[in-house]
Amino acid sequence: MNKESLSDRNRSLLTFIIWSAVLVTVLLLFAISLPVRYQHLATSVDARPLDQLDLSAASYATYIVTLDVMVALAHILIGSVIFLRKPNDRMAVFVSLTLIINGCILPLTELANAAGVNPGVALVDRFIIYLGMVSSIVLLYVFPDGKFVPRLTSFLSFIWAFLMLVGIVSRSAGLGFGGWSATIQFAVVIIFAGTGFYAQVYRYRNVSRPIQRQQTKWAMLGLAAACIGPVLVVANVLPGSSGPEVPNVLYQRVGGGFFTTSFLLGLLAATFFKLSSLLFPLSFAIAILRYRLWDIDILIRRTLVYGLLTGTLLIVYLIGIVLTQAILGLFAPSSSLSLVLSTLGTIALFNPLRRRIQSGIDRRFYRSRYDVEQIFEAFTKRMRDQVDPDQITAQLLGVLEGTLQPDHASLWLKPDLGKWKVTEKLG
Amino acid sequence: MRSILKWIGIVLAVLVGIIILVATWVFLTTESRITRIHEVESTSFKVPKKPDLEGRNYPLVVAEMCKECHGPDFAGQIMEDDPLIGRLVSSNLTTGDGGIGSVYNDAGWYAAVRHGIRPDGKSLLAMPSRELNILSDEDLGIVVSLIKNSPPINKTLPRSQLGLMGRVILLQGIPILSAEQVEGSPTPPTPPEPGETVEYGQYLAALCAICHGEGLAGVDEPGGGTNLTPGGKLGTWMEADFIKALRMGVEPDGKMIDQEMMPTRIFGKLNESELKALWIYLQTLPAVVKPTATPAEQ
Repeated sequence: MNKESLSDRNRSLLTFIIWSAVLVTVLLLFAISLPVRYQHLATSVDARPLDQLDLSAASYATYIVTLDVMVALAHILIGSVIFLRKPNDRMAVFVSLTLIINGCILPLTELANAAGVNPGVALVDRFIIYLGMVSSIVLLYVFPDGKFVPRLTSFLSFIWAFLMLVGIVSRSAGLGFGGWSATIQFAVVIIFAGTGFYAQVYRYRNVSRPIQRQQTKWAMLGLAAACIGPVLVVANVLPGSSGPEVPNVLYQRVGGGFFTTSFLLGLLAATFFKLSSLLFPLSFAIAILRYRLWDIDILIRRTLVYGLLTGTLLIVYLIGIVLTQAILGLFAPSSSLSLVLSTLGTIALFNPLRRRIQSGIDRRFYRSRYDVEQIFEAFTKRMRDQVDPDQITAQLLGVLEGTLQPDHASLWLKPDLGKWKVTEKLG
Repeated sequence: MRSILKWIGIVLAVLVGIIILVATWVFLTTESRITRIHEVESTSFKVPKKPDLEGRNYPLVVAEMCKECHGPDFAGQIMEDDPLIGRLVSSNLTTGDGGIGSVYNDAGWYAAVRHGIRPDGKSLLAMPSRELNILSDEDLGIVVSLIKNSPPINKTLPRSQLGLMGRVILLQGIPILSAEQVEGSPTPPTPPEPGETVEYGQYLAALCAICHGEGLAGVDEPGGGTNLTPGGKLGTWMEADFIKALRMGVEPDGKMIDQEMMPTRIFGKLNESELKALWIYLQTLPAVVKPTATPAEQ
């Protein structure tokens, strides 16, 4: 056994020990944090909507904790699969640890904020949270090849790590990140996440090879899935966590149905956020394990086409309602008729608009595909009038050369009763 | 992969289409109600410069009840903020920046409190005007004066609005458009003279109906008030028990009254005569016996 392979084995063993230690620590902390989170949820929820739904505070807390466990287990499972499949790939190990820690970070944060926790446990908990916070941003700087691109991101990583250290370690002292107002903290997180996003775009455009580009696309999809919940809440599109209890006099005046619906919607939104966050580990697993790497293009193209189509139809529909209401209002005020007319108009527009949007997106973002389709369409038209086999052969190879750009190509034709023979060569 | 995406796309498109259709219909149907301009009767109502209680504590209790939603300093607050349900904001009532205290004239206060109507004629949301409609001009004047004389607080708040799901619930008959509620109610009787009488007790009990329901027979909803008729647990109480319960927040059996649900710290401020009038009135209510106890009685 030579020195090099011995060193490799030692490194592998060390990696395995570190990875296992982090996994065990996270699992232990997660197990400790669950009763704390359960207690907090069960005691802080407004009992009135729960009573109306014939639910107890305990069942509510159990539901939320079950979601937490699902999310954590999915992250841990996927992180473990990544590590076990590629234990010697540094990037895979890093992604694996990042997923395992961040999948449990919410209950761990609850544990860090709880009173009466053993100081030793609290210290380890904060250290793990620190690792999770730092790795989540650094991952964006180094994914997928492990190098800091652009190089400035190594400096940004240092600042981010320092801010997190000050915030998490000296939180009680009111200094640094933890002592800043919520708005500033949110802005800092957004800025650093933004630099991570920029780093991925920069890498995609200037550095990445084709496979790395596909990996970046998957990573960005995962990031978008993880961010969509918080972004929708901040943009006030979806409800966030429930606010303070409303006064009972208002509750009774308006009626429990109003606030119970609000509670239910909040619960649905929380479920949606938790489930959508599962796309984060899944997409990183696809990227790292390079499984169905190229399917992302279909996903992006369809999302672009149908997202744009939905938005355009919605605008057309709303404008249609306003216009038809204005016109019909001159004769007889009827909201139902304008609704019907606008709906029919929008349905009629669906297919022509979809074709146009698809063609526009292909032209703008999938140029080669668009060009190929155009060339083949023209070729088919030309072939209708062509009867000379030599001409057909020459034109076919010409089209192949112009579209697929092969290094070489041969056309084999079978004469009536003979063997296959090469009739034309290219390259 | 392609066929899976195609089917996911079709299902999503159909869902989005249905949601948009329903949402538009809900919006159009409710918008006319929300933006309807209500007429307000002309009034000679005047707010006194300084509140003079003249031995009555009821206006003070009403003003204290306002604080339940408008905050301990009348500066208002966002009570519910859900993009799908809506935003319920209690206004800043003080004369500070962003407060309506310096903007509303006497007629404006009258329209808002009595009829649930904003100065632009549209309905207020979730203002208990149906219950406050019964207030005499004199008592209303004192309540508004108490509010206007509170320290000015600079606080600008967003306006209340209903989200899509809030509008859906509105269509189901939720009593949230205050002006509509007042319009649908019978004209209140002429306010009686203060005294230990059934009529004055009935006048004082108007606010109780918010939580204890029509007829004060209790509400079978979470947080709903207990049955106040002689058929409920008050049937075994004496006048002294009732007064002690409101003053001390303790029932005759020693059970503490939940201040979040029943703020006796506020109603305990009624004077002896007012509490007696209230008790006399409650004794005249037809006894309602419920087969199961309301949540408040459990």
